[in-house]
Amino acid sequence: MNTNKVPTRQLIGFLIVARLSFSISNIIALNLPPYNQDQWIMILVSTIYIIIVSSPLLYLTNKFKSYTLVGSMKMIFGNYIGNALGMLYGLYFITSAVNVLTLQAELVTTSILAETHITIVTGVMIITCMYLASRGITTILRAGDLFFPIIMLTLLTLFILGYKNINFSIFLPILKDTSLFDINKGAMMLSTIYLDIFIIAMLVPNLEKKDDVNKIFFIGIYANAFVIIMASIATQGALGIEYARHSVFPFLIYTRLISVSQVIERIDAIFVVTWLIAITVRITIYLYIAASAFREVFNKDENDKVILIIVGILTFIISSSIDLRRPVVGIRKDFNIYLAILFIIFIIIIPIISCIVYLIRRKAIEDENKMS
Amino acid sequence: MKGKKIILIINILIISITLMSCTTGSRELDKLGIIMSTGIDLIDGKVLVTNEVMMPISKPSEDNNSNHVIYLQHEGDTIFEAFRNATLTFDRRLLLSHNRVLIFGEEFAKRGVGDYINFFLYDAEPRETSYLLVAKGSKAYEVMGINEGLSDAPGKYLESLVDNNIHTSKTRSLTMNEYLKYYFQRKTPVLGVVEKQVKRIVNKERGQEEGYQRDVLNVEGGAAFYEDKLVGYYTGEEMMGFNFIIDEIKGGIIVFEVPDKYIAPDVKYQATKGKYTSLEIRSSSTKNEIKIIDGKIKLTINVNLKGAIGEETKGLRLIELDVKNAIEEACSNKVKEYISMVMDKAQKEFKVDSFGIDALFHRTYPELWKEVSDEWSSVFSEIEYTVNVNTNILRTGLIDIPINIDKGEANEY
Repeated sequence: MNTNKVPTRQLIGFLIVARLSFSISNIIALNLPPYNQDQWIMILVSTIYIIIVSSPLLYLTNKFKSYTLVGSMKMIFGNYIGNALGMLYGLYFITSAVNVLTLQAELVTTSILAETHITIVTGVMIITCMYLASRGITTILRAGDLFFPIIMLTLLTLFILGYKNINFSIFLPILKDTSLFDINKGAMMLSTIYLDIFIIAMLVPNLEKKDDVNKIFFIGIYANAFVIIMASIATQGALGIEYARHSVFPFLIYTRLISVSQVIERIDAIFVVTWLIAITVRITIYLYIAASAFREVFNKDENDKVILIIVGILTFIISSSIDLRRPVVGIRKDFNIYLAILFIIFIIIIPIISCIVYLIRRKAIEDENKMS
Repeated sequence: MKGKKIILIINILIISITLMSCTTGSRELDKLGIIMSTGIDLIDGKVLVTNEVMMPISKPSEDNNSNHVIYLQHEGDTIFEAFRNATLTFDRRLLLSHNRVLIFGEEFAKRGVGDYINFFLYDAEPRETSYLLVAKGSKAYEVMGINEGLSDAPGKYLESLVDNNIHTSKTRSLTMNEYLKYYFQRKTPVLGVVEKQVKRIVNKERGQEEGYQRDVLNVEGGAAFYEDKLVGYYTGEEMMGFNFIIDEIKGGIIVFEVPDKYIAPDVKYQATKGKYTSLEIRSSSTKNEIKIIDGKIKLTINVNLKGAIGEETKGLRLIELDVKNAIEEACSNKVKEYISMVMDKAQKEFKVDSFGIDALFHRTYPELWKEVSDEWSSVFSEIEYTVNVNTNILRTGLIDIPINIDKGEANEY
């Protein structure tokens, strides 16, 4: 078991890398209101909503810095309800891992391994992620630390190489075709896919400086917003507003347009590899926090690998069965509805109730905390 | 423990490499038909797809003129079906990844291409950077199979002709992605045009009589689309005007006539007096402005052109400043003429804004745009425009006075 503490910088970098898996793949932000050249403003506004919806969990995380999310639930609600909620959160994290894994499998089989069976793609990915997750949180974050400069440098190179394809005039006029309602509607919808607060809430006990929770959260939000804005500007500018919306993987198309003197062409494989690294990091952390949630429920320590194996196999089976039955990127309205419902339950309702109960039982919980 | 890890990593690598690349999805060169260009036509309600397929060869053929390509024609209700139907009679699966040119037959372009070209976007194989061309006055397959250049294959020959647009600016090298961008933004893309022409061949080949003629391809002009339908063609000169308006001039020559009054009175001709002057475009930038004055929309096209004298045949003394100014003015007038030609055709004949003036109007008058956007075609037809061209001659080449006149006592001092 690795008991090393996690530096703040490492977790911030990790959150940025993990978030990239969404920022540069199907870029959900492009398919939200206001559906026009003001999309980047909507993404900026969404940070406010992310802060608002994440604030109950952030509050709890700040109050229980020595406990994971499941631990804090146990403290607030007692063991029975706390364990039940821990189980539910564990399942939710598996759902999130499934969501990312199915997305990854579809992109890979669409772009570079068109004739490879999707189960093989999913299987290889889950084995890799399970192995990485089994090495403990410090290894996972160090891997993120290693990948961070590689991924950022690759993205920067892609932005520079594709720069001549970007037509910036399409972003004019600014805020003339958009109502405030549309901007806010889109920003609100976009905030419902931001789950990074869970990663912070589950990893807070491992932090070297536990007081940096807020710093990690805010830097993570704005750094990610910056990357999403860059990705959406690049794709909208190069593909046009409407074609970018028609594309399932607009950033992939953006990279396919790159042609430098007919020498550097079709470098989409580089993008896909970069994206795969980012998504590996994301799936790994979901598997890890799901396994951690179940370990805490069943009072197992990090040496226990059985739970991780079960979580991994479950994720693999669900992902494969979904991928074998249907597309998950092109047709995902139903998925988005399910995920939005789960988001409301797990990131808004349960944390708000937890906050209320905490405030009611504050004195008792603090006494209990001191005793423990 | 360390040994176990190494064995595990080796096993993962072997399994990954085996599963990912070798046994599944492998596509060997000897099992593929690599497409160089594709033509699309409609015949009796069915799509007729003509593919130029390259024959990979290990050594050069003795016949240097052979193209190493074959042509496949297949029909289907959709383009995808037509492509797959190729495997019914052709022994290889067709690969679209190297296809650089997509040609629409004129009839197909007039009917509308929007529904069929979806195929090229669904699949990962076709390139978004493929050029789109319209075969003027013919079926797409009629302009295929012609190679009068030095390229290995007719498809490559055609692609090179489109690339050559940087030397003339008389057509448009529009790619699939750019087509979609214009289509979605403004509904008015302008594609390049390819036309089959008959040219006298000077090369004497065995068995050929003098004056022997062969087909060549001419990539000149533009195909104006409204939504996804071809509405008409712009000529090569009109396309120069078009490229000036949209600020996509990459190069080219402007040929113009300077009034005779600028010929020095004491000039002594040593050779025949010509008529024209040629200016090579070195750079050009255009700024368009739109204003509403007295309730009328007024467009101002400001072109700033820099060039070098490439040819002077009239006998002008280029060393005189007033002559230089006159040449610049004559060149500017010619550019104005090109721009007026294309604007008049777009406004009066096609009634289609091919230039993105709507986007300019939208940016300048966002509130008013909402009122006129639905009837922009008729609004565009009524726009009054002014063209301002400023030409600067940067270089005069290696001689200062044409050789058909005597330099006499004229000097620079």
